[in-house]
Amino acid sequence: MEEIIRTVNLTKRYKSEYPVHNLNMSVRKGEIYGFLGPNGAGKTTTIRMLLGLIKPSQGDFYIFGKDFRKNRLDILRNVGSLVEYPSYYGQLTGHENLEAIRRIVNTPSNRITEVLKIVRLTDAANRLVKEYSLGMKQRLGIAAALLQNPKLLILDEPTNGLDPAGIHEIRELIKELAHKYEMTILISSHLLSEVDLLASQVGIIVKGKLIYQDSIQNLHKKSSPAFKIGVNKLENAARFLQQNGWDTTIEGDYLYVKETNLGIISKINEELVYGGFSVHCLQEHKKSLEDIFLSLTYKGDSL
Amino acid sequence: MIGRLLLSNNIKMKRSYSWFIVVFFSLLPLLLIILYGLFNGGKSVEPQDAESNEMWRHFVFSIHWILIFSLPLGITIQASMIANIEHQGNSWKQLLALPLKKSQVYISKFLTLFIFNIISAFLLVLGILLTGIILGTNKNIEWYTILGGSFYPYLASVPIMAIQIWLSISIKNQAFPILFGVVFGMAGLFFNMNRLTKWLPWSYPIEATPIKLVSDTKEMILNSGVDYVVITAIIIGLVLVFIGLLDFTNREVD
Repeated sequence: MEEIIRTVNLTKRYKSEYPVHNLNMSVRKGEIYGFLGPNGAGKTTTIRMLLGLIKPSQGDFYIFGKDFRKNRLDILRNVGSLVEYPSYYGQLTGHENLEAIRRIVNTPSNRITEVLKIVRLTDAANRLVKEYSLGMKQRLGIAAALLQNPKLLILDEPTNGLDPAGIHEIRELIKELAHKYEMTILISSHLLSEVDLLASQVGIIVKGKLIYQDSIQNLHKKSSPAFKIGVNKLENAARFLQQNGWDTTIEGDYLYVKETNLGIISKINEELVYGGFSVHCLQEHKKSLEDIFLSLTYKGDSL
Repeated sequence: MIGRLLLSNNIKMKRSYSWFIVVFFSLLPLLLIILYGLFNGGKSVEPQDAESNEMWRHFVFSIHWILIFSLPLGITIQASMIANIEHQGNSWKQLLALPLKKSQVYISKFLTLFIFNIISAFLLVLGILLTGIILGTNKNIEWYTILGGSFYPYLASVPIMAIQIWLSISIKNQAFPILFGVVFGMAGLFFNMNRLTKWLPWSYPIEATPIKLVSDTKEMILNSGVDYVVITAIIIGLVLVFIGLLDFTNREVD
């Protein structure tokens, strides 16, 4: 599939600090790419480089297959962006804000009506933006990003600081943009749960390094389900099950077996009971994505 | 593209009272001179014994002495206003991620300031004509004196415009560029008194007058060196715009 963004050893260095270090990222066409990482991991720095707001210290990147250094204007004509906290002209109305940008990108003026409709700000179009809520400002920012009808949309923490209703609205909007308008979307977030509901592909960045990049399904697979068994005489029981050929581990006060087939679980239970152990808990245990994220970012931490 | 950027800057100025500020600063010298005249008995503006055919010259000469202070002030405030529109709503990153050259953005900001000042000079011409005619100085309108008296100081201020727009764009907290502009603007007259500091940009508007007073005879004569001052100022101004532009294009956007 066509690669929309490809970075090759992208690096940003400030003195001895590396906010972004040898980042190799690949975003394919039509994807919603969730760019995840704790605060200060280098997400915004990466995005600023992708938009040409700051220059990489080392490495290259290609957008739409073109070298950004040589084709900046060409590329930016097809990129819409929203970087961190919203940009706006407070003393102008929503419509005038978009008009100020439209005059630069030179799209027909009815495009403003269209994008206002997409972000559902038509009713607020003639109100001053300084009176807007944060969620509305954020949606206005997305509207501005859509003015050029971009093929690639780069959204940096678009839900940061919003209330649950605002988060939901933005999420629905992003889904709609991806499906209805076939845009490739790069969305950064520090919340895995946020990206889980949207993204098809995830990249996890920690301390400037991309430590994981794969489909969200594969990330889910990492949360290999197991059965949690509560039993007396824990260690004896573990040895007993291992002798019977079951993959068993002890974690805390419970046994974990890597089996989820209910027939097999019943059988294990039977063996335990006949073996003279008393079982008080049998429960399917699934690591949440959040657990995986934390363990991945922790792993990155210790590097 | 610069044309489109100027149109965009224009809409961004809405409801920012920028026109009030432009008009205010352009007519400020005139208002102060009229006030001065009124407090002086309401008869005339400068030397009471002036020949009436020298009235235009005296009038423009008086205005020039106020203009040399009000002009750098006006430029400082307007540059700050133009840059602050982008600082206020964190708009630099949005603007500079659009498909345009950073240098074009910088030039459009400078041009907006320059156009404000050219408009100010026009308004001053109109103001001088109108006041002069109402006050009865209408014998032989001295076009060169009036046009030169209005436009020369503004044109000689191009370097100040270049410095102030650069400072206001580079520094987010506008208190600093304003402080700088006010202090150096007020110091211009003193810079002009010394052979070395005479070369500082804040000294140029002082010499950019079409007429000067011969102190012995109290005669108003044409200032023959004014072309040289104005042309030098414009060249230095353009160099400063270019330096600011290089700095801006290499700067990281936050």
